[in-house]
Amino acid sequence: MSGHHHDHGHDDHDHDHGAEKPWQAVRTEALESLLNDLGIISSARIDEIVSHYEDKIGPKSGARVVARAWTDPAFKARLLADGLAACAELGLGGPETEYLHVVENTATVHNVVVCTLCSCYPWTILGLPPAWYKSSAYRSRAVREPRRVLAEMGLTLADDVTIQVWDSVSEIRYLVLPERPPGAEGMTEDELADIVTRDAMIGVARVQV
Amino acid sequence: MRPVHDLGRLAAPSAPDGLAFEQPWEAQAFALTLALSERGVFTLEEFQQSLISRIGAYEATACIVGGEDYYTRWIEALQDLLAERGVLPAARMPVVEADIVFDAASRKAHQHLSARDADGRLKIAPLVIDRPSAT
Repeated sequence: MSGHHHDHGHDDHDHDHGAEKPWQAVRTEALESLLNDLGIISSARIDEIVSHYEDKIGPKSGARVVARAWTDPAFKARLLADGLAACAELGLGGPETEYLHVVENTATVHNVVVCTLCSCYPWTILGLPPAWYKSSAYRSRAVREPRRVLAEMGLTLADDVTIQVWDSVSEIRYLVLPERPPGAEGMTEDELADIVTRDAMIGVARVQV
Repeated sequence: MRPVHDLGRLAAPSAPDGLAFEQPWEAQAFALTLALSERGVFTLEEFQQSLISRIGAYEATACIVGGEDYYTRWIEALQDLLAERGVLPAARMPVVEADIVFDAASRKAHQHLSARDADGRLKIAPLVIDRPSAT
C-alpha cells in the first residue's frame, strides 16, 4: 500500500491521477453494485467482512493456540486429537474449515503446509495467506523439493530430519505446532504467543526467542 | 546451481504481517465471495472448485507470482460460478462497468479542471455556495 502511485509531485505534470482503474477493480465494483441492487448481498456486509479479515483476525489467533499447547499438556492433547474443538475452547474457529489437523514438529520430524491446487489455508486462525503461499513456485516446489525450498526461505534442516509436506484441501486445513525454542522455558503464555510467527505455523520457519 | 524460481525473497513478505491484500479490489472480491456463500448462493467448497479450475487453466501457460495474479483468477472463478447460478443479469454488467469507468474518469477530469485557474494558480474556493435565501 505504501509508496508507489502516491507520489504527488509539486510539478503540475507529475500528477498520477492518470493511472487507470484496473479492470479487476471495475469488475468487482460492478458485481458488488449489481448484487447489492438485487438484494442478494449488502455492501455494508462486504465492508464488515473486509475489516474483520484485515484488522481482527490474523496469525495472532494461531499464536495463542500454539502458546496454550506449549504450556498446557492437556490442551495440547486435545488440540492434536481435534484441532477445531480445541480452537473453539479459545473462542476461535469459523465456518470455513470442516477439519483442522494440527501437526507437531519434533527434533526429528518437520511439517510444512502447502495447497497444491489453490491456496487453502486455515483463515480463521491464521488470517489470510501471504502472497508467496499462493505463488506457483511455492505450490509446486514445496512438494518436489521441500528441503531446498525451506533452505531458500531461511530454514535449514539437518539431513536426518524428516520433512512431511501436507497438502491442504477445502475440507482439511493444517496447522503446524512448532517446537518450543530453547530459551523460552521461563516465558509466560502471553510472552510465548508474541514470539510465534505465521511462517512458523505454516512450517517455513522456526520460532525464535 | 540456482533454482529456477528463487524463493529467498519470498520469505520476507512484501506486506507487513496482517496486511493481507495488496490492492483494495482484492479485499472486495474476497469479501464478496464470503458474503455470497453466507447467503447460500454457493458454498465455499463449490467456490474452491471453481477457483481450482481457473488456477489450473492459468498455470497451463503462466505462473502465479503475486496477489494480483491470484485474485484475478479469483474474480474469474467468481464470475463463472455466478453465471452458472444464473443470479446475475449478465447483460447489465457492461452497462454498470461503463458507468463505473465513466465516473472514475469524470472525477479525474474534474480534479484536473478544478485544481487550477486559467493562470495556473491553485483555486481554493468552495465548489458550491448555498446561501440562505433572502426573506
